[in-house]
Amino acid sequence: MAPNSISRRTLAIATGAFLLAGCAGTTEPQKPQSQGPLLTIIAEQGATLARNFNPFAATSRWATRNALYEPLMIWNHVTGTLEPSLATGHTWSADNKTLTLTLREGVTWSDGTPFGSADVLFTLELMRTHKGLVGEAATPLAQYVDTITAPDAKTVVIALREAITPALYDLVSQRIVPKHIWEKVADPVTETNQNPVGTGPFVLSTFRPQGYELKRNDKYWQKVEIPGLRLSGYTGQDQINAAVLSGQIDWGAVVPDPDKTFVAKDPANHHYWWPRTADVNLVVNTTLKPFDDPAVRKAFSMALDRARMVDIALWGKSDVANAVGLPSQAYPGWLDESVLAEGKKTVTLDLAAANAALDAAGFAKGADGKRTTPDGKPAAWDLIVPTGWTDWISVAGIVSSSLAQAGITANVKTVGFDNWSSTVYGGKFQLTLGAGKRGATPYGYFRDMLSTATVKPVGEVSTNNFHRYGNAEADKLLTAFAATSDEAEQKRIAADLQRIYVAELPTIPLYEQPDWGAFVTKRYTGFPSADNAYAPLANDPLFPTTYLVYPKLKAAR
Amino acid sequence: MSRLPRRVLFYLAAGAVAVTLNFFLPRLMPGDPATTLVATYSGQLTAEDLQALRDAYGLVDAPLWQQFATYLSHLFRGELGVSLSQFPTPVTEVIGTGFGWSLLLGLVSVLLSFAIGSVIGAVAAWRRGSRFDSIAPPVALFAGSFPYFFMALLALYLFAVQWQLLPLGQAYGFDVEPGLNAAFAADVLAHLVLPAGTVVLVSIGGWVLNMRNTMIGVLDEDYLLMAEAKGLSTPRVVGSYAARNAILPTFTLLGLSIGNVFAGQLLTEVVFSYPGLGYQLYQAVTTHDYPLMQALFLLITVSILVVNLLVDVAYVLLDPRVR
Repeated sequence: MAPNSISRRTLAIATGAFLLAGCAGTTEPQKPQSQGPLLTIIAEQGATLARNFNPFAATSRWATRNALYEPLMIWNHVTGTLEPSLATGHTWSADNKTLTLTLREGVTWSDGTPFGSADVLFTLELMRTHKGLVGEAATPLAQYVDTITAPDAKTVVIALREAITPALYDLVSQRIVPKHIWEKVADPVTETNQNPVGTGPFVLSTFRPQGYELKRNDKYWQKVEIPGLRLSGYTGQDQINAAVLSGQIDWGAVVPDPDKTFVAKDPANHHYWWPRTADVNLVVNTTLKPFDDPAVRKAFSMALDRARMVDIALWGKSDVANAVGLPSQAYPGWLDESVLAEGKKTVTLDLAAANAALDAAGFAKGADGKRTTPDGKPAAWDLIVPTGWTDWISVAGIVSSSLAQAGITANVKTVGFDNWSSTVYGGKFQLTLGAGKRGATPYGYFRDMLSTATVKPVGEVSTNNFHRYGNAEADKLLTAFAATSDEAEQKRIAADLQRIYVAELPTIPLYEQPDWGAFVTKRYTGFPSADNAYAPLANDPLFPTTYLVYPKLKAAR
Repeated sequence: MSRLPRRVLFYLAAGAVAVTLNFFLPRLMPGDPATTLVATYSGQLTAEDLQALRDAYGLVDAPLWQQFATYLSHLFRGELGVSLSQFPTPVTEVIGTGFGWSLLLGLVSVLLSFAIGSVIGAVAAWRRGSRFDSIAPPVALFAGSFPYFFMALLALYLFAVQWQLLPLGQAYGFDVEPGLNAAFAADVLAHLVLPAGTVVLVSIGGWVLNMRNTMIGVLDEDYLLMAEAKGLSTPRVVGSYAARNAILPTFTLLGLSIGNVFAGQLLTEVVFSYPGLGYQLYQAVTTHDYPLMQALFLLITVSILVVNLLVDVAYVLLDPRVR
């Protein structure tokens, strides 16, 4: 659940001459770019950056996955399409067990070597044989993939052990590395790949611990107008705000209260766009009494003032959640209106109904207005949220005051992120907030929400299903969903999954979480926006969608 | 005679305690580095991958005392390990990039505020009750009573955003070539003005007050009356007779401040994106980067001990009475 939202949040967490040769680090001298301004992106955190461009490392620089190494195809979660990249298309065999990918002609690595199926084969096999390499393809490779073959230089055939069509999205998102370079790497886990050679639109030109620059790759297979990228490390929101206000940034992430603090400073050039692709939920630990009871979860849900959360935590820039916890715009054609209507009352503030439901569930109300659980204990729990996640902290406060109206005590506690993650993913929490999984289809979301396959015993780490709810009927539906590549059939199954979600309410949907994104059009135009919604604007390191944006950017005027 | 060896022995014992605490303190924090990693890359790591990464990171489930033994043996061989948050960059390399900048920023700001503060304090004491004495120390104290964060943000906004006189942040600009040349030195200096200036501004009050107080004590001494009676010039009396004696207690304080330089200047580094050790320590703590934390704590304790030892030695030279 939440992990998808971590990277974008890290930015929101706020917070003598004789030495000079040493300070400058190990960079070889290189002249900075001079031809036109570089596109300046906020994506790196920290004032000293390590030179690591290993696409299989969790610690590599942002540009590695978002500007240097390309995936086979790119899932565009704004338009709902799978866009071609190194592969121009894919086909499934009739039994949905064999995936054939057609590769693009005329692609070369930045060192001039031609790209081909051998590189794809090598990358996937490298991930299979070396444990500890981070990448989208890791899970399908370990769980479903049988053989990978390359009948010719432009075709890759992946045979699966069983029909799991959603594996497609993970497999094609994998960034591909050149065989002729990586076959000489002794240990890909500890490799830092200081001089990256990729197929992407840029190549590394200058690296300093404070930041780095990339220049346009003249051998790139698409036309790109921007001369290069500049990435500086930032230590906190104040620096970012100052840099934005002094006109040094072209493309950034989160801007608090954007109309007032950002757009108003230069309405012609300062823009933001916050499309929504996932919901934020109030997550209860369903292994604990009384949260194992759907009636209690629904009672909590009806006590919550969602409109206030949107107004206060998101400056009114989002919408309250629907009953299935999927943003209404993110999955066109997938949401079942009848299920949404059926569940509407469980996600609508109705204090009388919430109180009645709690009474019915055996939560006796004391003289002080506070309830006790059916076991006779005070109905009081801890609601934990990570320190510095300001929007979540204010939402947690509203959850707490809403529940207090119904006689339930939720004590908001902020803890360090690492403490939060080990408590929550280890199943040792009572109440917390979490974000639903973003994906090409609602399959991944419902798998995390409802599948028994994702439920782990308390104490064992589970990042996907940390509310720890499983439903046998949902398992059958998910298996049927994965076995077909017929979208109409998948949509029918998804409606049944939505029905189970509404009936069980495993987590309590609150509001639609925006994908933060902001841009300045002083130097470059063509960024994705509400009027030109061709790709996501967020430059999240977990999604390769930045590759869809670079070719569309043009010099201003 | 026996003073120095005794001090050295004391520092060795303190060092041993620090090395032990360095290991255990980070591990007392709730949470662990592996979960932090899973949290970030959940969809892209299988259980086997996670185990492989734990092995590569050197995270073992062995008993704590066994890990402690490994830590000690590595330490004696001078191996500080690799950083987990910036894996697989060696800790020494991570610290190396921040060390120089922290030293530059720290030394410049501490020495400047010490020098300026002591001069103001000495003059204010000499001219007790004058207009200078009734304005300068209170103003310095007033500036110091502002929260640093507020002061730094205000300076950043005014000088870098509003008037655009000084660079926003970082230690040098993108457009200069790092190296031993005048252009780079000038750029570094320009980038140093705001971070160092704000630190000096908020810390100067303490030095002023300290110097003024000890100086007033010294001014009643007979040898000053003697010096004046001899007809020595005022600057000579203030400088070589009064200030020289008054500065001794302040000197201990200076040693402590210089030792603290190695802990980095977290707030300054956050506000000005200055690439020092403070933010690295902060990052190490928030990501459970044990090796980096250990190395930074070690650096901090060792430098404080070394600087204090140096102050002790300097004391012997400066003050004949302790010999």
